[in-house]
Amino acid sequence: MKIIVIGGGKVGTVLCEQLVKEGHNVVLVDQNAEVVETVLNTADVNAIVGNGVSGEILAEAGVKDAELAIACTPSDEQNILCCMIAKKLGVKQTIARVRNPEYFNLFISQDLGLNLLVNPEYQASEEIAQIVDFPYANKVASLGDDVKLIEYTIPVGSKISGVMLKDIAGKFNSRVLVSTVERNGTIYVPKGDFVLQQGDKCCITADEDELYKLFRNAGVSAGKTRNVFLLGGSTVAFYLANKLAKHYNVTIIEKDTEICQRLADSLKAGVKIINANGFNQRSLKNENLDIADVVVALSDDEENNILISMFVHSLGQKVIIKVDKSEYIPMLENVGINRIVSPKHLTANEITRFVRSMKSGRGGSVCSIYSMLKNEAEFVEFEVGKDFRKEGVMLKDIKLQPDTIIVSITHNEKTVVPNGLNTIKKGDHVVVATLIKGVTSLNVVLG
Amino acid sequence: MNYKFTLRLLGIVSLCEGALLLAPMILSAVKGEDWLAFVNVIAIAVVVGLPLALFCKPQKKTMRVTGGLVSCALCWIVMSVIGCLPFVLSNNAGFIDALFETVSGFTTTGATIFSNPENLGMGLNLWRAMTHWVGGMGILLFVIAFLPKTEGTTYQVFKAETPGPKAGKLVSKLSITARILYLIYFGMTVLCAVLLLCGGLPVYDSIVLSFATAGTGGFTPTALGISAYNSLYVEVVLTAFMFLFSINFTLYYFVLIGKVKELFRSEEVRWFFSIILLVTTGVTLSLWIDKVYPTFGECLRISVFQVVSNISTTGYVLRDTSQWPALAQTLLLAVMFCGGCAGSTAGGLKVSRVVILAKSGARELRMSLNPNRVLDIKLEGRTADKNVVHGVLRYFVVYLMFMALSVVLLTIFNPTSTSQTTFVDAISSTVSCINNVGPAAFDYASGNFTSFSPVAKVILTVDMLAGRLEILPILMLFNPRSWQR
Repeated sequence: MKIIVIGGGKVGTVLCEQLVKEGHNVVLVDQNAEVVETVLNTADVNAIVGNGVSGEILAEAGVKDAELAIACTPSDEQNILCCMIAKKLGVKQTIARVRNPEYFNLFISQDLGLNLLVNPEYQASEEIAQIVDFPYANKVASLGDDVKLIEYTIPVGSKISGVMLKDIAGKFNSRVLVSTVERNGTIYVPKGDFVLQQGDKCCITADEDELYKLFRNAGVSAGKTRNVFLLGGSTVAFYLANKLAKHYNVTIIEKDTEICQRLADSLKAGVKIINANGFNQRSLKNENLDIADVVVALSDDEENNILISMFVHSLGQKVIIKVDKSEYIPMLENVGINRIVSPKHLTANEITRFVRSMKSGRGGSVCSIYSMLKNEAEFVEFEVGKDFRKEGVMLKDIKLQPDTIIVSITHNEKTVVPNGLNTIKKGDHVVVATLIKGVTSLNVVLG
Repeated sequence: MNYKFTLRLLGIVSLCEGALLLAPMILSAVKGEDWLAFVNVIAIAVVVGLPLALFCKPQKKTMRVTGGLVSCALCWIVMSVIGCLPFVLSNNAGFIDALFETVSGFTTTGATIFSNPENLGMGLNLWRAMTHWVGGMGILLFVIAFLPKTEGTTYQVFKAETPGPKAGKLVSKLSITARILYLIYFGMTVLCAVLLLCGGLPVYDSIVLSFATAGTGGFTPTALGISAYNSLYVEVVLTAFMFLFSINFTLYYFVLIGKVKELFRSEEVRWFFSIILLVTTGVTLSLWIDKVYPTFGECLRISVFQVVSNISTTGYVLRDTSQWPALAQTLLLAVMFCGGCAGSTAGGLKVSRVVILAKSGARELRMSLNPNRVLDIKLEGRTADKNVVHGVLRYFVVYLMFMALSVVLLTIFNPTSTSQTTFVDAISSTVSCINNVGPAAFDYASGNFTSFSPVAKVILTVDMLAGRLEILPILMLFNPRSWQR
């Protein structure tokens, strides 16, 4: 598929790499020749230096026979304009990154010819909100009303370490499915005789209640989360505070008076906004940081986020950090900070999902992709289509591709973690965990 | 440096070369020549290449700029060494001579050390022509194009091998870009061969000549060069194709996808054409005024052919130009620097670089009148990126220094032991080799370098490689830092 990416910033660069890996023909348009050169050096794309709003440049990029244009320049207005012009010039589908909450709410995307609006900040806030709800996990995704998919790092001295997978149900009185495990950089799709160790990162799928049972019985403290501190009044903080205000006591610490004022104007009254430097340890203590159950480092300055997260982590509090520079992530994991949210990757994944659903393969179309374990393991949600070959066959009789496992089936809005006796029917939503990259067809996955 | 990546690439290149050698092997077997030499070389290529290609599995799939440059230079050296073995094993030349000949072939220079190439036999002559064809577009581009995904980033290698200030992709995928380029190249070569065939040339001669023309190389199967055919038709066809192969191949792609206008809109091509027109006029007048040839028509015919031959860096010769007036000789030497367009098979500085240099010079002059004036350098109707302009200036400086060094070394190592024109020889042979043209001033008639001392041959061999790969890759080889992991 031919795809034009306009804007080679953080999201644009990741997109180029990811889309090339999925086998697409990508053309990057960016005004900065140096940016173009850097991307050319890392990804097998073609690139054009110029303004993506210009019809001439878009024509040069081959907009006429392109199937998708993705605009992710720093400016919302430019992105929207790019997409409208690209559509007029013949591109089939368009995606724009729109950050400003006002646009995001107002725009009726169809009228302007935009097929998808992506908002990295909003997506990050959703991701973080899920983790705040379930702060044991590094990452949380909802596969249905009750069923969660979590990424969990087994801490040192945990009761779970040393347990064989098939014994979990008996030992902790909890029915969970461990679908993928990362150990020392290698990823396994484990069988029943796999023994968990401390330091393993595992993806667990289960009913929410079963998960709570697992953690309670494994002795992981189940104290309820009440106080959430957000350090930095960025856009993510705005979205997040809006989401969390209903159930938690939210405090935002921001050093810029004007931003504080703006947040106070637009946020619900329950959110406490404090005008102080959240990246100064003394002022943090003054603001009662020790009562916080979860601290989220959200400023736009990544290095500051990292330093303050290390400080908060050393106080023994749960910390969630927003980091976009991939180089920093292993460093954070080394010191034990595992709850890392990267807006650019979330957006890139969202767009990848859209692209894959455009050329949906046989057996069912892709409706979501959840990436876990540093994007090495993919959880792909399919809507089962008419041409699905194994309809009504029991799972134990279906031969799966290697390194692939079915983690949930949603039938009539009811999601279950399946066992060998479940069957898949037309219209169901099936989530498949796989280490194979770029899966688009359910029939292929299920052999 | 990503050693495994480089070694694997070397292995693949050597295997590719082994495959290419099959063609001259079959021909020499059919003609009853020394075909066992080819068999041995193919065996060597496979023995060297197969283990490297099979067992070097790079873990890291990326390559940095230096890695790309060094790998490219190494590949060219390895393939030259393997490619020279048929000459050595068939006892036609010593190692240094054979290496000179092969490098001259791959770099599409066309300078030869064989006084009578017709004695080599058809198989070896086909191989000489094939080295031109493969070297013209580049063997690494071939590897990128036709082998299953070489994994990882090959863009650095592509950049290192493609001449010109900027390496441009045609389509998103590098392998597809390479395939399109080779397809265009192949198609045009076939067209050239067919046209020569129509002119009554034997099949063998048409193929060998079209290979040498396509790569803008200049090897001919006989010492007489093009004058052996004594046919206006052949001259016209060759002139046309030397010109066509010196134009940026991107433009042919545009023509193929229906954007014919781009061909005429290209500023580089217009400059190229203007330079040819201007220089041809000069050479023709110079020949006519001095009454070198009896009629104006003959002066024109010979100077058009010779100018296009030199500017496209092919280096075919029609007449003994060493007897020409000084103006004509100087002009012929001058266009060697210019070369063809970027992204073509021609050598030299490339027209776009020359244009940027000229425009930078003009800019300096204007700036000295109005020091505060804001002036951009425009190319192809757009403001040229500052980095590109600076890159061209830097390249030019390195190019001149490299050339000067080579001239000095050549005068030390005494190029022609008997003649008195050592200085001119040193300059003209360096210019000819570094720009991948072929013939030099001392003996235009055959472009023959037999009389050079072995050290001088090695120096010129390095010059040719440096000229083809645009100096930097070769210099990088001598920088210990680029060998660090």
